[in-house]
Amino acid sequence: MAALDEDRMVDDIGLDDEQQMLLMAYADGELDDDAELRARVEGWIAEKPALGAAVSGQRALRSVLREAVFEERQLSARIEEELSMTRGRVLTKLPAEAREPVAETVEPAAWSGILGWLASVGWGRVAFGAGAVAAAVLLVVALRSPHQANGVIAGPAIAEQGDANDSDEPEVIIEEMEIDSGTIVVDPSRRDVDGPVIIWHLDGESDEEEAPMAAPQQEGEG
Amino acid sequence: MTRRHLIALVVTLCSALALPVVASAADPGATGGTATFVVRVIEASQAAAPKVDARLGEMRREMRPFEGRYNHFTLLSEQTFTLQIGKDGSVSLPGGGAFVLELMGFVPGKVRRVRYQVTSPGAKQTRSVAPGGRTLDAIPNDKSLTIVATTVR
Repeated sequence: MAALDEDRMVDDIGLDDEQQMLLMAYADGELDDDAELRARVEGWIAEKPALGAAVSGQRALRSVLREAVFEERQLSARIEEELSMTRGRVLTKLPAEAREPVAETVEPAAWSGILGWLASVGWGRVAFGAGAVAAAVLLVVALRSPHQANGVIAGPAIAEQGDANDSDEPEVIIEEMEIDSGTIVVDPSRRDVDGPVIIWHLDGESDEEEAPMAAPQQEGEG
Repeated sequence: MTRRHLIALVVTLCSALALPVVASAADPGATGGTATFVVRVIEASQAAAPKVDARLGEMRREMRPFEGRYNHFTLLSEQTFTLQIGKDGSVSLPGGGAFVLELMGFVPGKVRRVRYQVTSPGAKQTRSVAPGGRTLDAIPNDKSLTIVATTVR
């Protein structure tokens, strides 16, 4: 009703169609990016205060509508939620055989397609193919396993380092150290970088005498 | 069902049954909540004639860093510990004291590392080592050197 009154007011003021459209666009905020048009409309409003009232009425109407739509959506969401909870409560009280078989309505079609295709290939070929794939996987795993297992027992250090650590991390990390006496020296300057990490446990008095490696890095000191 | 079908079926079933067994064998390192450590205690000393214990086998190469000062390497003991988390195993050291390993857990990652604590005379360390990794703890004594080689499997 208020919008009709505002429309009538606009008509009474004597705007043409283009001006009315611009005024409505202004009220809807559609001229915010066009300074020139916005200035034109604001000029009309300044000349005719009734236009300002019309714009205010239009904006109030939009606000009411927005709230109404928002409330409607909220109500809709609440109803859906209630329905969902009710459905869940009902389903949990139903015996299993009485529940709707949701998954089974989809899966049989897929399975029937796969089974149909396998049947068209021939069950004998399918079984033979599956056997061949399984045997190939078995062969690959079997070929890998002795190498890894023997790497620790009989293989040289260089081989077991490579197998054991394909990542960028060092093979040995000393995370924490508590030293009551003496000095612990972890030798980072090994001549054989793939060899084992050497950790020297040196007495405090014999550091100079025993440190056998070239420029070992001192990790901790007691 | 023809004989060929039957053979294919048998091969498939055998493969399916064997796969888990082989796959578990393929990961000799830490499995489940346990890890295996092989600990060798070696004594290095200076003697008139150089000698490396034949039982050291492939580890002879790893004695090279010590050969500047020592030329006689003897395997004193070798023990394998399969430890559960929180459990420990120890070996006696010729110079006195013990070298104790305690499995603390595992570090997840591309390679699951074994985290364990080493307690040796005067020191305690927490290490995380990838399966297959080996450390040599070198502990000098009066006139010899005790080398504890620990391999994580």
